[in-house]
Amino acid sequence: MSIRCIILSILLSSCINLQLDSQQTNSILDLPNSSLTVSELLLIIESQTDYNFSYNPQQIPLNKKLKIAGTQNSLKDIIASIEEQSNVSIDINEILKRIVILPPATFNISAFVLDSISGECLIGAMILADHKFIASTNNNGYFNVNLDYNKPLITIYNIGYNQRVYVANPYESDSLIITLIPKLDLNIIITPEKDHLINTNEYIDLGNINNHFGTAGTNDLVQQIKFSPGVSSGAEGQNGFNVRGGGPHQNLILIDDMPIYESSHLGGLSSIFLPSSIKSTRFIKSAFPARYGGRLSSVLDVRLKDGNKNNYSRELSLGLEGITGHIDGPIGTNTSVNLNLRASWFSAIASPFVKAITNVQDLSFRYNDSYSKITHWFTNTSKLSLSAYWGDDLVKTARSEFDDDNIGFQDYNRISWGNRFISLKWDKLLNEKWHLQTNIGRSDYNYRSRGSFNRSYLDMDTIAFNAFDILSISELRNYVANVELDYYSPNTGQYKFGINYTNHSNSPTIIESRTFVNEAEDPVITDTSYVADELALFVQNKFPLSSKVNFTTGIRGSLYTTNESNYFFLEPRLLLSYEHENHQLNFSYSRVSQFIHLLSNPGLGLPSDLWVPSTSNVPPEISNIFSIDYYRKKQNRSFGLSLWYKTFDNIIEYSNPSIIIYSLIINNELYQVEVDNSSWESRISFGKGHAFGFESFAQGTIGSFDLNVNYAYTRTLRVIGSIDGGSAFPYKFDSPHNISAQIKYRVNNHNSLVLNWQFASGTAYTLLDTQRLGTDGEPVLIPSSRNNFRLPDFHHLDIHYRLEKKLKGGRLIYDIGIYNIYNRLNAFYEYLSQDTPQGSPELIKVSIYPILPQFNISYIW
Amino acid sequence: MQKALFGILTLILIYSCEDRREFEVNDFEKEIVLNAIISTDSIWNINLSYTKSIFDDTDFEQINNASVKIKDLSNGQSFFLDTKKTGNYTRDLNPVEGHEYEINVNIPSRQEIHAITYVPSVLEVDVVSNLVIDENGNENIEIGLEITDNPNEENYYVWELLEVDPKYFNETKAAPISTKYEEEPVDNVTPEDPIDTDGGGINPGNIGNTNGTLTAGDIFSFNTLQDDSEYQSKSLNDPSFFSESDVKAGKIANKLILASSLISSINDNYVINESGTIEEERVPLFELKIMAVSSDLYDYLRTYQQYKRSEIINSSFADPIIIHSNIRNGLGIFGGYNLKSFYIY
Repeated sequence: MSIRCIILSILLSSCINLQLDSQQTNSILDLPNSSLTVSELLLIIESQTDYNFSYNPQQIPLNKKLKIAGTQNSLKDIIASIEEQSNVSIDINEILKRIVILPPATFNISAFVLDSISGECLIGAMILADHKFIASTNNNGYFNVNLDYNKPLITIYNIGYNQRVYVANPYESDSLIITLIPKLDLNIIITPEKDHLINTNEYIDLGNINNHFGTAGTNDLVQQIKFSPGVSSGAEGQNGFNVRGGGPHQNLILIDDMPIYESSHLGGLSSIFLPSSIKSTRFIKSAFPARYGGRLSSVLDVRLKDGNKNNYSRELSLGLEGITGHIDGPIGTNTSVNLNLRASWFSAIASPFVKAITNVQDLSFRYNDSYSKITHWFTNTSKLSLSAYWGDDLVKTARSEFDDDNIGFQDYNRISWGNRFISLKWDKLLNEKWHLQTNIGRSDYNYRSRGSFNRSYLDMDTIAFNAFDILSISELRNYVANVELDYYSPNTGQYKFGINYTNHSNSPTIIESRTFVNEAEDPVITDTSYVADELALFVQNKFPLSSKVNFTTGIRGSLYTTNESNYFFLEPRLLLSYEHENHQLNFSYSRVSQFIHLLSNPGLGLPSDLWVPSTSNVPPEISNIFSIDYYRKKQNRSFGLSLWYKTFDNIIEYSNPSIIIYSLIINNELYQVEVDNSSWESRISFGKGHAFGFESFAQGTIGSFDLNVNYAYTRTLRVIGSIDGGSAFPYKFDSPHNISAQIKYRVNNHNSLVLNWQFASGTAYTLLDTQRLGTDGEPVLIPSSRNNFRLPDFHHLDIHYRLEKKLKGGRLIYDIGIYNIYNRLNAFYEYLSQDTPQGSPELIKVSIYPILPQFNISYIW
Repeated sequence: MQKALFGILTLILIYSCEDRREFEVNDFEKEIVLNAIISTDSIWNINLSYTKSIFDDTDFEQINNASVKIKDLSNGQSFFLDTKKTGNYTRDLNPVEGHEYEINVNIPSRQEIHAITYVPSVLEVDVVSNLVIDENGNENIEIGLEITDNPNEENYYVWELLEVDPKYFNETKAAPISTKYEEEPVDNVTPEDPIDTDGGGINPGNIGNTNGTLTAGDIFSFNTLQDDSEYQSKSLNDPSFFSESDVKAGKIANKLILASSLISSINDNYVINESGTIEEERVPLFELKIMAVSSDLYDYLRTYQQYKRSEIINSSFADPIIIHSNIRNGLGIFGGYNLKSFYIY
């Protein structure tokens, strides 16, 4: 037989074999039903064909039930179904008639991470595999990751909880529920226990809020944020916070995805947030994810608790500030509520004293907050939530002073503002790879001020009268609709797609008359109303470029339309992250637009915060933000450095501060300057700015001491119109040096002592320091340049002692503290006095917060 | 946020405290101030001086070594002003209505000072006053202004109402300020049709609505613009400003109402003769001045008025009023105006 014949015979034989194999795998098998376990299928195949199986029963999900199409299927189709549904790899050896079943190289696991006690989902919990951070949970506590089959261990870590190591089962098809046990110890160690847990995201340790107190003496989220490097409080008595050279109006503040316009009460006495109502807080200063937009400087994303699904949790607090109540718990088996209420009673305490020593007839200042949320779970993977917030501030004063001849004055001022929203949210896990999150809602912000002044005086022996009345209103209404989809791909990482729609309605109004109206109803006014639509589409993706490098990218397209103009911006967001052992290095770039501006009355007298929209004449504000961040963490110590630079475009200011309103009362005299807001667009100047800075922080635990030190150097400059010949000048919130330091001594598991110290360079303001000759021959004061002076440096040291007592059925917590323990008289503002004993001009510094006691008692059960 | 700061103002009532601190002006650098407000009714006259520190209580340093050149941009002619050694520089020429002027000032070792302005055209204005009775039966005077807009210029106007002091008023000394200007007596009870507001005019009463008792306006007066004024009448309102830069033709209307209380408070518009009897002499109640101004002068006057009103305010809590300047490489104002005056009986 020739070689050619042998080859031909082999080929022929192979063809016959192939034909036979094909016949074998295409042979139809009879199945008793269409839903069978893997082991049942294997038995059927073995009984109806010549094939036998080889596998390790420990590695194969033999009991997993599979769905087979029909009761008569080919062997090939059945094998494909087993492969697909059991996530195994199958190899068929035709010669030996052996089918080998192998486990997969990698497998997918998805789960919800919940609080073991309350059943609340944990947002931003970190998932680690092989000592590397691989994912974090989304806003519903959900994650989906791919794991190496041979390394099925994952570690789940969330701040304030005991971390948990979980052995993932490759054949678990449904989404898991993994619970973490909260650390009930009040003295939570700030830093994570393990070296590899680098601070990769921006979620704030809510347990740490116990170490931060507002001026009013209660635990304060905004105060905690002000302790972050790069965040400045500005000066004494200032509401809100400034982030990396931005203004307070450039912070995007969200509560359950609804926008909030004011985060603080009454000059920063307290923030609007109630810690007991909050599930998670995310604070972002750079590398903004594409899902966020509309503000230039930061994102504060607060999520309310759904409510304890298992038991009722209650808290009642009483303090100098007021009373706070909280309750959350289940209603039935699938529904929970979270209710919170705060009412201040400062006014009741202080008013009698004030009235006794001044000519004030009526004084009241109060603020309230109310949070409520009800959540219903249709299934473990589908829930509907209704959230609402209502908060307001009110300050009211009335004074009068008349002598026997009816000469004197009467003065009435009332100012109120407040946020409120209602939101309906539906979240559903569509399948392991797709997660849907939607919400619709309405958010309102109302600001209203009313000032009336009436004076009678002698003029050439006759009684003359002077009256003035001004009303300022700013009403914002937003209708919001959001749809977001999370997609988890084993190959290309995690995606988030979304649409945000907001309908803005905005009514800034200032009216004035000389007709004195004493505490009467506000007059009917016809104001200008602006309506605009904002639509944003975004996609963001996070995927690993290598085991050490992650790339998070996103793009947001924002369209803003009014009757007269349209604006569209593409906003790229990039974050490149390198992580090696205990080191992490991030490079980020974000472009952000802001369609709403804040025009603040820069003068004394009645304030007028007018939120105004972008129009055809007033383009949106734009910012480009570059940041490099380095973190290192080892044992209980961590360290970080950041360098950043950002630009601002289309920022606006009143061309001249006098343009809006001034009704200033000094020594019972009315100094009215100007009231004219008839056309704010023609009265503003445009400008641009840039800011840059350096930040560092160090945290650590030494024995019973937790230490935390932050330092930031920040400069923020503006160029507005022709001011200073077009040269850059410091922004009014420019505060170059900011230091915050905290020492916490854990006396034992229940008692702790906290010292907080904050320092900030004085903010800039314009002082008239130069004289020039006026056209009337009189000297006129002018500034040598804009913002040429600074307030004195701001700093204060606070001390707090927390004592917890366990009682039957609950815990009692005492917070005792002293604000500004060394009685630093920080400047609230300064003014120039030329009438001085020395004859030379001096600055008069006005302070409002000397050393203050703080006390609060809480009972939790 | 300002509103919170206001809230804090309330707290100041409770426990604020004040503390004095001295301060210094470091590295003070004096700048040049040029003041020149021109009209067709006065010769060229400008003033140059240096700024000084707030701590400096000496007189302002006058600049007498400058070379001041005026160029009429409308006809290309140039001339220099002569120094008067008091910081003033003059020339016996009058600016021309409707002309644009450039000023260049050279001072040794200083950058050249430069500015441009124009002298607005003569106003075409009609004034009508009506006696109107309000719902309470009080007699108020309603004064309507109607200005015919010059389509070739941007329009900036300032008006001021002054009380006429009968002691100063007589036929020969009528309106001392305004003798150079056209006078148009206006009857106080002239039942004319209401002023229309075509041409996109300002809504009646929107600006300068003097409904109510007025504050004596001694803060700023037109008198300050005129060196040769001896007569200081009492201003009843601070100058009011309006502009219609978008209007290139047509009428601009404005209206103000003088309340009966105001009228009655200054009803001494009679003259008592030597025999002690009241002369039924026709003495005007008010003088109304209306001025067309260059855009820079308009901004200057506005901000100057605001500054004067807010002079007491200079604090970190309030951005101070910055008086407008159109002088490149210096400070001050170079502006032009044209004025008309009316008596209201």
